[in-house]
Amino acid sequence: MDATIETRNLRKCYGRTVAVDDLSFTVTPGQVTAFVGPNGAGKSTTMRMILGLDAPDEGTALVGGQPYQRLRTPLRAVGALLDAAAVHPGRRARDHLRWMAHAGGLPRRRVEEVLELVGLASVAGRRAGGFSQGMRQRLGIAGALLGDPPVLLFDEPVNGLDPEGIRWIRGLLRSLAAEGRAVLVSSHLMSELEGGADQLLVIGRGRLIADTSVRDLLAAASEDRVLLRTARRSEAMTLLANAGATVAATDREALTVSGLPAERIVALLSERGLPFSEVAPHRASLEEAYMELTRDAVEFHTSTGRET
Amino acid sequence: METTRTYRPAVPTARDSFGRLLLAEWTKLRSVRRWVLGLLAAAVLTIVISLLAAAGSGTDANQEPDFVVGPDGQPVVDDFHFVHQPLSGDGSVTARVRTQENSQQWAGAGVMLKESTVSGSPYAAIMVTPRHGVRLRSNFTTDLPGSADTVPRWLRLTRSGTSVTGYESADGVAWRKVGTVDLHGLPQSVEIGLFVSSPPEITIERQAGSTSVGGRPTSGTATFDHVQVEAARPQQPATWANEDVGRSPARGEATEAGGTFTVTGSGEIAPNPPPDDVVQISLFGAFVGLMAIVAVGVLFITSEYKRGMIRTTFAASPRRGRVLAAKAIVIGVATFAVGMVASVTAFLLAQPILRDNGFAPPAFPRPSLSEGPVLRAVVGTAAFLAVIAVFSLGAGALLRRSAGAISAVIALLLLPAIIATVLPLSAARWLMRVTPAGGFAIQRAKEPTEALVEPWTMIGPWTGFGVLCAYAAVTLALAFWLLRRRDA
Repeated sequence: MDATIETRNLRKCYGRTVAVDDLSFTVTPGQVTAFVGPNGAGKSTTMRMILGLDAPDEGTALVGGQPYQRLRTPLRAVGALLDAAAVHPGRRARDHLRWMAHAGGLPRRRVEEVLELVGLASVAGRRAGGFSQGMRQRLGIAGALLGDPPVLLFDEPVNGLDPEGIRWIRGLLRSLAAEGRAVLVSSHLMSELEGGADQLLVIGRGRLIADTSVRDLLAAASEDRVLLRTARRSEAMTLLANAGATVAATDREALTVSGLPAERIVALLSERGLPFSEVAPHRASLEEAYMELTRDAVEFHTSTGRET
Repeated sequence: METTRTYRPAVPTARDSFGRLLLAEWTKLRSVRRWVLGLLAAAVLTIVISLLAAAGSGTDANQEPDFVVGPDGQPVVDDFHFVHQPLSGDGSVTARVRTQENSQQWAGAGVMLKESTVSGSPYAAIMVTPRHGVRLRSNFTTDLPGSADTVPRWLRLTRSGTSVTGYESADGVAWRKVGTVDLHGLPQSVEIGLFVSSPPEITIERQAGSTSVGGRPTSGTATFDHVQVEAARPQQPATWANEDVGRSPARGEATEAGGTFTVTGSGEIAPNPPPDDVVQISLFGAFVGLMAIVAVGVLFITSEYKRGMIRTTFAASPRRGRVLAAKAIVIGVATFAVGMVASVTAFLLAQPILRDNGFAPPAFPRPSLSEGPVLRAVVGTAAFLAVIAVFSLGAGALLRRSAGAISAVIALLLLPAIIATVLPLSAARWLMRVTPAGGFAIQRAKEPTEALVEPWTMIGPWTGFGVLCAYAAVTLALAFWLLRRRDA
């Protein structure tokens, strides 16, 4: 079986709300694919459709080339963490993994192995109700790893983790991908995944906004942009705009110029005798690049603050 | 983009079997302490409430008996008018019942062989009835139907040792055998002759929460001719005597003119157990215990919906119908096991208490687990709780909300039983036949009766249990159907 996730023209409506609209993408093995978008963008809905939990109104979702329902031993094919809170609080961590192992037809020793792997071995006998958010995330990840599957889905695994936990998850995701698995991990905060993801799927209002590698995105966002610092801002703006550049004022003395290479800007300014204190290529952060991409697609502004 | 080798799991190939699914659901059930405690609480409640019910029940049925004791020690009623003569050894009696007054649908007119004229003594009789054809009856328990014909009808009883055979005929020439009964320990000398019985008309009135049973005596007259007694061994010519056997509610009489006997009699020959059922009383606690069962049955699935764990479940087993089936089997079997412990314990512990409170022989023969109806009630109580658990699971899967599902199931189980106590008989019986509350009938070891307040006593045990099973099956089927259509 190929370790891939593939969606084709997925569409899902809840009443009149279109949660996912014509979504097509492929998640390939060997890398961490970040599934990013604001809250309510349709990430969780997409993941539920991939796992056969919600039926798409249109389109298909395939795991390793097959619909999820067709998998006879799905835990061995796909591991998923959808919601760390989806544990009965009265059940011990070990028992939670045990029923999953039984349901998945997996040997019992896997329970101890994954408990060890996520660092919960010492609290395996405690009831999940007493777990911190971070411990629950680890328990959920243990469940996803139970079948040692080649495809992994994590929905907001970083949520509620402390910095140490975030570092641990990033490392885990990287190592899982390095073993040749396909790893799809969602987040509503791009910064959480900075340095952890190779590929980006950006989604907004249920639609795919970008499907790109992190490297390309950063390059595109930084490309052609030059930071210019000058005391005579308005004159410089007019000059450069007339020369065909797009100019934005970012500060009282600073401009961001795109459309003209740095050497040409320096030449133009020198010709006119306009003084400048700095000309430097602009380096975008992943967060910034992402914000630019999603500016128009943010469905809910912070003032409404609805969570899904 | 660099392509990497595809990951190969190190875990051995998983086995996909229904047994693993059962194991998974069993692990879920046993690993939540509250559910285990809930099932134990159901058992404890069933036992304790049963004992309290036994301690709070009493009867004076043996102090002021309205019954006589039959050949097997059971309470019976044995009232009729008997025209008889002694018969020593084997022999037969033949008569034609020419007319019979339709004084009551179960009125009897026919020939009888009885150990003595003492009420409650062993007998065999073949009779015509106004509405139920020809019957051969013996010792208050055996009832063999003959033809559906009414008067005029020829009837015959022949004795051979302790066995008595009944015949009927339309013309006194062509005889048809109805059956043979054995009157164990029948003495050499018995009474043989003609009898007429006419049971009282029972009127039952139900008013808010109480039932009053009244009996209006009836009296019936029948005429007989071609009366003939034959003895195998010659004996002294006997003369006819006649008398009311037992405590006939109305005086009977008999006259003979030209070989035609006109006999008037009143009363009933039948088992006469008090309607109270010591087996049901000793299992009464299930009424309360079932509430804990309903809660566990519902929560077994709604708790998964509440926290989204159902998605983990269905991601592990995409075939949702199998998950529901596994859940139903696990909760059903676990509840049945707990229910068996509870019902057997409650039954055994409550019986001595009930005996001390007057529920003793002869009015109340000691029930034993080796008797079919008693075993049915005790095992049936465990099955009743198990089916309720499955019903609750189905309701939980359907409604997905704990409080809603628990209230709905408890309301369906208990409300009809409460409402029916204030309804007229026919409406109450109908309600018991269409709601799961009728399931309580499986707890009875006695025949259905209309004399008790508890409405489920009016319907048969299997009828009531069947209705409950149908509710569970339909709920589960609906849940199964919806589970596959709805998003998890």
